[in-house]
Amino acid sequence: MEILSTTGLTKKYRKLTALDHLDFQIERGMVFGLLGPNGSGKTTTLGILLNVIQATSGTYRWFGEAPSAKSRKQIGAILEMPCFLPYMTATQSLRVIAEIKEAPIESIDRVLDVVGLFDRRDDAFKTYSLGMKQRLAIASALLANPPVLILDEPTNGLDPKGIVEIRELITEIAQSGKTIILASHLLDEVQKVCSDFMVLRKGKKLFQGSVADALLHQKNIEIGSTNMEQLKSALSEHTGVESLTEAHGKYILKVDPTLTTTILSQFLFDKKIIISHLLQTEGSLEKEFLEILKAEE
Amino acid sequence: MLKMIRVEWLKLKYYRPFWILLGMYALLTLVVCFGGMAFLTWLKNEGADFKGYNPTALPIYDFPDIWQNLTFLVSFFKIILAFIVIMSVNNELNYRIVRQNIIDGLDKKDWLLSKLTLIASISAFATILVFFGGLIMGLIYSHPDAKSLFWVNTHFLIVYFFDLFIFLCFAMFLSLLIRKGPLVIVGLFMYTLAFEPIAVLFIYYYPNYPESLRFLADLLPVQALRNLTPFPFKRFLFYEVEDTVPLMAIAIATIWGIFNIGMSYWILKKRDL
Repeated sequence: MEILSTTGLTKKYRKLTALDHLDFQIERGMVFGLLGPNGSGKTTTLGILLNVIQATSGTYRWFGEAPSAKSRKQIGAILEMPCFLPYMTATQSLRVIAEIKEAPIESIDRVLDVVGLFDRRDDAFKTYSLGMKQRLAIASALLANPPVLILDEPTNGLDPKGIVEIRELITEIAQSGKTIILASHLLDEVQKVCSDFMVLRKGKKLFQGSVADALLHQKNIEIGSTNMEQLKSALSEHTGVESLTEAHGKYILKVDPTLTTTILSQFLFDKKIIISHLLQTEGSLEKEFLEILKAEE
Repeated sequence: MLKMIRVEWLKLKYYRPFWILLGMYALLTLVVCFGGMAFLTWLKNEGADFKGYNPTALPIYDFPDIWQNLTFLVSFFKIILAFIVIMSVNNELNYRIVRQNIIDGLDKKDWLLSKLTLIASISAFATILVFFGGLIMGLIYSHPDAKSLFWVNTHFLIVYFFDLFIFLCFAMFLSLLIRKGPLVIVGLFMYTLAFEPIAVLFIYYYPNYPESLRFLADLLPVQALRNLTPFPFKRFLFYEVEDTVPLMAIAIATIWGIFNIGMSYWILKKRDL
């Protein structure tokens, strides 16, 4: 089922075109990564989808309907940074949000527990560390138990431990069947938690696809032999090998997804070549991302 | 509507400056209500007299004039209530609460409504306070024959509520427009108490100012509200005093009210939050 679709979303500031005719769809259950360098239009896109930034042109639909306050109540979202009144405690702040979202007051303690803030619930927001503020924001997004979550740079400014905790939290939430839209400039993060992703640059969509496909596309095989020359000529005969680069006394092969290490070693065995090193490496979104950017240039 | 009142209440009840300012205004109202007699007694002790009359004999607390006298005086301090509105709106813009509230599923219209309920509540609170102040002082000091006139001229209380409501809407609009709380506070203070009164005096009395354009002074936002309650104290010098509400002033003030609320909504709708 379609959760979100946009057509021709465009946002122009005086000179700058922050978003340029953006079309994309998000299906139920996706963990959708919105990738792009800083200033590529990620937050602008989310701001428009949440009705706090006015699009210059274009339309979008939530849950197949025209957007409204009612549809926003079914979305838990944080944009850029945690926004709470500094003099209010976690419980007090969530009371306001529960009132707005028409969520039961009992769920306040539940979400505070989920993000590990229950013990600090009666302290003022201004006394929190950045990590705690971020976690309170996630708690507020979870409050009404919404089917869709939008998280904009949720690990921004967190220490490594905090980052791991938030990622685990996101993965857990994703497993409960929620649709998550995650904006990030951290490729590693998207690779670890997302099922699908879209790459934005200068407000244009460069790519949209599944993370698994992209990683498959990035599958590499490292290979080494006692006789590198012989190995090179043998490999160049194999159709499954797409490219070959030399690094640290080994060859790194970009291969067809169907070519496994078993097939390759059988092939070389038949050619009587002795292999001293054979390793299949997982691709990374980072490489794919850089290639997408390069291809665009 | 009830929901918006609850949201606003939850946001403000833990905000200490809100209670301090509200308390200050309440105190000032009571000082104005109860202090009149003390002031006149002081004048008497200083040896002042009004054409041979004892100052304490001035009927400031007589029904039905008391309502006009008190609301006219208390209205000068409404800027304190405006500070509450400015701080509330400014906090929400500054800490991006408006934005988060919209994201969380509030309609922009609802947010505006929540601020209007705040404004209406503050105005109602202030009005009730003057009512009780007048009630107590009137019952003590009013001429016994005048007590039957208790309800006459209580329309000045409604006018007082209206005056506050429009003025606070003006403060809300400026806060949304300018977005810098301290600047709005200083600006509104200077404008209300200095710039506009000087401009009004100039327009009214500058000899070379064209006679046909003197009415422009009455169109200014603060003067329009001031005109709602005519200056009451000339009656002690046996001048005729207007004690009906000038309809023209009501009309001008209403237009300002509509303008302030309409523009506030327009800003919310058009501007990126």
